[in-house]
Amino acid sequence: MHFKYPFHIVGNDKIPALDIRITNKDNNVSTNYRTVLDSGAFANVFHSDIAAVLGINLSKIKETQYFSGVRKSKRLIKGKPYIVQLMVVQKGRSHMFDSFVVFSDEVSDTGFALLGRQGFFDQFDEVCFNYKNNKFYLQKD
Amino acid sequence: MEMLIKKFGGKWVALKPDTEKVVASGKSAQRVYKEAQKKGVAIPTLFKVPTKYVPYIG
Repeated sequence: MHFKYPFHIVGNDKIPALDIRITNKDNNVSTNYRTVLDSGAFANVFHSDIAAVLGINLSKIKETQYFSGVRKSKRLIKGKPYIVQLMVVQKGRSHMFDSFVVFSDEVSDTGFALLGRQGFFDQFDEVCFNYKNNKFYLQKD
Repeated sequence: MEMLIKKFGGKWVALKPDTEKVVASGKSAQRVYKEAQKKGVAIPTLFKVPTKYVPYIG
């Protein structure tokens, strides 16, 4: 299966944004969510408000996932890990998989939800950015 | 996306799937989601619109 998307153009930048479906497997509540592919992110990082939409009570999750960005800062960002079902859908084709997600309320107000290496990139055989032609591709054999 | 940032920066929006059409917006993702469902969009696309676009590294 091959999924092809255009970059979203903002100013003089091209953003590899795509809308993905998230489902809480415990209650089958789903939402679509606008995200950005980020090979620099170790995992998927979603806003904690999305957990609330899905009926996930983050206060009941004991484990905390810490992570950092490129900014020089001693303070780590924290979030709560959870397994959700993600689905990529396009033109009648879909690829669905269980995925590791970190829900965080410390996401920057100027930032995007991120699809990272664990839980997204590792679910496809190829993730290709064709910047010159304004497309990016996901390939699942 | 530029239009969304200009008009809805800092808010949650619910989009009609596969479009840029905003069906609901506000500060609460849950309320925006429910409002979109009331307007007939069963599974809307939620997007926390950045307050402004800042080039991103990571």
